[in-house]
Amino acid sequence: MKERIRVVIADVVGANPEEIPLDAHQEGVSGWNSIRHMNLVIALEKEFQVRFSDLQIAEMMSIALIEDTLLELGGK
Amino acid sequence: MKASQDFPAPRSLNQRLREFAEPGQLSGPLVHVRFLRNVTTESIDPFLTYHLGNRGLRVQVSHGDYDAMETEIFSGIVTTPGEPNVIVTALGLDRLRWGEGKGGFDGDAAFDYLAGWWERILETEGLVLAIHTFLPAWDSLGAEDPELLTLNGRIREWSATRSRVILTDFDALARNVGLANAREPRFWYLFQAPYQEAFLNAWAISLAAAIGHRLGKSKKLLLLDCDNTLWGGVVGEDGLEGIKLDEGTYPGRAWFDFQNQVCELVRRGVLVGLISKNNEADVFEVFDQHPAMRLKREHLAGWRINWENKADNIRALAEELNLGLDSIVFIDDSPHECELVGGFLPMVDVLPLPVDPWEITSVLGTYNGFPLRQASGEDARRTEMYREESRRRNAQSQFGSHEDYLRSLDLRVTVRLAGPEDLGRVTQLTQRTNQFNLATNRYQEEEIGRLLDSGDSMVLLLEVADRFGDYGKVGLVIASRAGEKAEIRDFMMSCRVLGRKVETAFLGTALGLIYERWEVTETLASYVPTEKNAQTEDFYDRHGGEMTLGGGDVRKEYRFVREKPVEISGFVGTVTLA
Repeated sequence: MKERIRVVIADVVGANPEEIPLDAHQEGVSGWNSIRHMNLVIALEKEFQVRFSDLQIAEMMSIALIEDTLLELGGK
Repeated sequence: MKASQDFPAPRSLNQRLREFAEPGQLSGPLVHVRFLRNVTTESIDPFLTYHLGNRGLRVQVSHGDYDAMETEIFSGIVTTPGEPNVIVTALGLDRLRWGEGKGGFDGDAAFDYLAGWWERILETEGLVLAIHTFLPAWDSLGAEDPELLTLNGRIREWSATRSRVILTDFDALARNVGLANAREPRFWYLFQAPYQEAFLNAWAISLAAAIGHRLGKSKKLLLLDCDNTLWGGVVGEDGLEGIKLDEGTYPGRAWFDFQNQVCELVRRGVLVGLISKNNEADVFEVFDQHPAMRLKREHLAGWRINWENKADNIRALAEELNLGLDSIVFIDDSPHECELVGGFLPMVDVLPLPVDPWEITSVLGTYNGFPLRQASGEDARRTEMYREESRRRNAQSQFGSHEDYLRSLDLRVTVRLAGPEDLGRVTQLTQRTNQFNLATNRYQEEEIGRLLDSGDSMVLLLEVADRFGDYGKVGLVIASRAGEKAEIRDFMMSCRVLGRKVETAFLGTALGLIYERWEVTETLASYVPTEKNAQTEDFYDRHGGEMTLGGGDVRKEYRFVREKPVEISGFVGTVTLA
């Protein structure tokens, strides 16, 4: 799942997936700003067919946290 | 290359964007589009690039600071000479509600305010201004607010007579995609980003169509099949009496309406031609004798009615009319013909006509490649007089200077010591603030709790309000004392309130408070660069800090002294120390 998340992030920030480590955190990823974070939310919701809450949106600032949240929501 | 209302699938969108980025792919000029906005608009970029690219145009999109339209107009709109420049004002009503003091939103007052700024933008030669009507504010009880109708009505009137203004009718877009698909409260409240992708796409189409038209990229020639396209049935088999075309009854009525759409395009200056596999005599029998034909022989710029390959016929007709293939739209009900023409002539926009008659008017109804309807010359002259008059009135009502404008905002800044009730918000600010954050230390609630209890630290909150409302707690300073010296460990602000010297007032006030309460003469501060905080790099330099260490890409340390207080006269508003 981390792999797929990484691909989505790479797509949103315009990077190659390999440039983003699997333990990436928002602060370490160039271009992952608040606007891209919103686009990331939209992209993740589409990819995994889930809907995040406001708290989840605010908190999922790393691949690990995104994975936790998706598992919690039963993302496909 | 279909300039239709269709929402591009993400994969094909990205694919096209990659193609457009390749050198030489797009031959048209580079269009500079700048958004002046009080909402988040960045997500429109791919759609705008896509739809302008489909018209052969390259684009460079940029977005001004959040809620800084007025400031940017005062400092002077920057355009690129020799290339097309478009300024888009992208505004949400929530920050523009005029006349609330008078017991409600006042549409006329809001219009006067906006038109004043728009006239100022138009003072810059050469640029094109793109504006929009307004959707209801988020706290409104519905779309039928008479003041909103007034505002939108006046915007339509104003823009209709200005040749350099493009109007996107948000009302109409929201009707097309549905208000529920147009905007998303979740992203509005969390990111100040009201519009959903379907709406941004529709907005981008409207902008691209208008910009494309101005740059001569509109389609000029509409080529139509005849049987089952201009009328129902096959004239060679069903005969003049047998084909379906009728003002009153279905299904003939659908083709009647379709023909009305074609006639409207003729009025807009679009050339119309026929590409049909038929006997020429049969087709013109319908044109000359069928009582319900809306399209007439004299509307036609040319035709190729024969049994040859349609792609060859289109090429030949384009040559005869001296038009480029990329200025042609072709409509046919046969998927086979559509595929053939699309395959041989990819630069032609091919629009297949749906099978169900009730669907066929949606084809031209949602297609945006043709020229837009222009106000008539007579209307334009008459309204020019009104325009002069209203410009004078606006000039009188407008602010003379940036300072007048800032004064009109009635900015109120409050700086106060944080208390236990602020624990959550203080922690959140340290966690979330990225761009205007000098040191970017992240804190947990327990740490903030300890700082609040300690006599050797100070946690200061900034609250900002203006006449449009209250921004809440938007800035934070964390300071500590060690012996004779104090240190500002953290200075951060939400980007929503930048650009009005609030940051200057906050720093000056915070330093003053530190000197006074702790009776120190010196305060240290540092800037720690991160991926996101480049805009604060010279913040302390600009405010009289003396750099004692660092430079380049690394941490920089500063010293502020009591004898040299921060100059806050540039700030227009009131500062309260609570």
